[in-house]
Amino acid sequence: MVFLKVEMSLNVLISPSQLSPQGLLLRKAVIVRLLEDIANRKASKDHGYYIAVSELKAISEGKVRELTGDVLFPVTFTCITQKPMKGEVLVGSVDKILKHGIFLKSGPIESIFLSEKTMSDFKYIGGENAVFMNEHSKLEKDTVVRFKVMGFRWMEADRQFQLLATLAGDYLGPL
Amino acid sequence: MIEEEKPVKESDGLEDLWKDFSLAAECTKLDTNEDMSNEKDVDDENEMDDDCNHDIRIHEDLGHVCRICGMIVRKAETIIDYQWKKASRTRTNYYESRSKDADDIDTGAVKVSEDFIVSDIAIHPRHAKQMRPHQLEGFSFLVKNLVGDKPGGCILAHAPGSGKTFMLISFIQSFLAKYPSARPLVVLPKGILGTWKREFQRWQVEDIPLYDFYSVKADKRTEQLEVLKSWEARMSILFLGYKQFSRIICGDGDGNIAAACRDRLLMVPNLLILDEGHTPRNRETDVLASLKRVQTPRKVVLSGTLFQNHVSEVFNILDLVRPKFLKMESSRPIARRIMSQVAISGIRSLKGVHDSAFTESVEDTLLNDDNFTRKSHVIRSLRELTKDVLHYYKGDILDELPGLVDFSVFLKLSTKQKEIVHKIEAYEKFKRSAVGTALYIHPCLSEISEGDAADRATNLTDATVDSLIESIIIKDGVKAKFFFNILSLANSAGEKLLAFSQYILPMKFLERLLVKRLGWHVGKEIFMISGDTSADDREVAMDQFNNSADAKVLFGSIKACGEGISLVGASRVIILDVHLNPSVTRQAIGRAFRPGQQKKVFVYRLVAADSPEVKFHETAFKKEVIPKLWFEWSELCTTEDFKLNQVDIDDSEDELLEANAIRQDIKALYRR
Repeated sequence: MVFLKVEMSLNVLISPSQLSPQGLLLRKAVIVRLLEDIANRKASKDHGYYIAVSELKAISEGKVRELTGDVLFPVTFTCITQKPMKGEVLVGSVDKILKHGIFLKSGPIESIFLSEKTMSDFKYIGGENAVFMNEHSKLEKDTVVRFKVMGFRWMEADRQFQLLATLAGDYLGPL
Repeated sequence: MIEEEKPVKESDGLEDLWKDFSLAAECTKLDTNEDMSNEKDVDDENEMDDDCNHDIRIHEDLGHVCRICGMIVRKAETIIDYQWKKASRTRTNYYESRSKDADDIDTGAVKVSEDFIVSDIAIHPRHAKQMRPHQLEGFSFLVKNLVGDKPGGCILAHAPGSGKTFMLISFIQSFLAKYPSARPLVVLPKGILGTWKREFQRWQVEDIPLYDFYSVKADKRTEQLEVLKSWEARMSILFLGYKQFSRIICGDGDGNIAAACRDRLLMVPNLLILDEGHTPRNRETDVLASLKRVQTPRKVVLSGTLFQNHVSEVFNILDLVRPKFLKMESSRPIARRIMSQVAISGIRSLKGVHDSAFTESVEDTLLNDDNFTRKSHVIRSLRELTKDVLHYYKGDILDELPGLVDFSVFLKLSTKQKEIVHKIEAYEKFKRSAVGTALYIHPCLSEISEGDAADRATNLTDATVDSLIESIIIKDGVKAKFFFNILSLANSAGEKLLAFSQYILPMKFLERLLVKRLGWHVGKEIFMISGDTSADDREVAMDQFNNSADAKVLFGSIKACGEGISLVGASRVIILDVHLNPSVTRQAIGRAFRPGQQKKVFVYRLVAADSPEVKFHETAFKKEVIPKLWFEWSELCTTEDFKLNQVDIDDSEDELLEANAIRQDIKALYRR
């Protein structure tokens, strides 16, 4: 796994109802909103999946917006992220089995595809509980698999990465 | 969906895998939707409790987000729909330099085969370079029939897209070079006039004027007479629509002007060319009667689909090009031999060779006779009978294309549809066909379809169909469901879809369904070509559909999408209903499966199982078999070559059909 520590800036919007003359409550509101926004955003193309906010560096002076009365606070913080890399070796579990291949999950990455074309020695056996089998082992739902990342791409609409996986290599395959 | 791909060294190698990814993901989504809709029926009450009463907040970067549950109700990029302005299209036509000198035409003999009779009409060298072997054969065939001491008519039955137009244009120019006083008349469906004119301008070696009534808007007989006089006065070619022609010849006008027009059309032409020549095949129509009255013996029928419904129609056309064909000296012995070969039934009388008895016997033998030897004898005799006046070419140009897979998909009707099927069986044939077609798409359409024509026109507005769509469940209609699923899968696989129907209502319904459910737009993702569509709009729709990355689906009225329309951007074709004339369906498939196609074409002919539509399908298929037997049969063929083969879905070679959501609706799958 490749984890990154990234310093980022984000504009946090606080509604008037949360404004308070006492500084600590306002600070709390900013932090809660920041965590909310990070969770909703989930990932970015440059940094990967957001795992956790680790350090709050600065909350700059807020700007009041006209008409709504909201206040915009620029916030600088550091965040731990996980970004997929080509050639990386990961451990995941089987999510869905189709004739075309297998969908895997690994940590925050939910869209990993192991194509039937790259598993030349595995055979698909259809039915209610479909499996891929070869002479030594079996891939069925919830099997834990060690795989290598062959390629990835960023899907802006879903805000997630899609990965292509392969089992060709030493020590790769079901555990 | 916006895809931003990071540069990868083996990007070529991974393209296939990414495509597999998309296809698998879409299969998963369809299955999930299926499960969800099933669960919803059972757990309706539980669902209502779980529903969140969304409190929407607008986030600039995310969109409409519920503050309570965090769900992104509407993504940021879908809030504003920007209609990009369409740039005006500029066209520039470049013509090859024209040779003004008539002497350039080669007067030497051209030999294309050992048996070729040296003729005094030759192909122009520029054309000869472009011609394919079957066109050279066709050219010499035309020369043999049309030039010489005893000219007579002939039929060119070349497959669609094999270049009949080019060959005819070349022949006409050579013919005019030899006979400058000749006045060719081309009768054709009005819609493809533009295509012919373009081809003429492209291939002509002399500047020959082309006349027609439509470009000069000659609506009255006086104006038409002027055009006819111009055509008669100098070496030129006249184009005319079938209906216009028969109206002039058989019209009620008794004035001098009308009579003058009629006389000129009947006497002036020395060469009569009938494009889409299967059009005047019905003996009870004015078109056939009027064409027979043209005095020149030189009549050429062009048709890629000569056989349409019945053997007698082929012989009607043969009578047109060779009057009293079956009674000619060369034909009578062969016809008599055929009559002696066919099975004798008590009803049929042996007295003389009547046309109707002859054609009925031939049809019956080709379709129903179990004696294979007798059938082969009849076929051989038929070919001998017609070989001098009929030149057949199956068309191997399509062999160079990636391939065609032609399925007939029998779908299980939903429960609601089955109930209504019983009601419509009481209707007479054509009403049953129209109402049934709408019903098999979705049961909610049957009420609209049953109404009067006037009411139906009112119901076809967007607003009415939209209100209908609000309350329906797609899976109640098995064909609508199949269409949706195939469209989703084809879209994820990067392929475009064509959908053909005989009727407007099903297409309008599916169009509005896509607009409502998927948020697509007419003119961007969705296109429609029907009889009402103007020529310019068709051109724009064709061009955008073929070239635009956003285009997904085009709906075509099956008879409006004829010759001249090219939709090679699509590689999936759905025929939503069964047309009794298989040539019409083949023509529709030819819109995608034609030169210029880059992908393998899959055709899905949807048939509602356990319904009257199955019988229609059988009837149409029998008609398809006859021309195969007549023109393509050989000693090596067995009866298996002329049957529909049932295919298991797993062996269908079609990834889309293997998805569970689609598979469970299929009762049987046949492949041609």
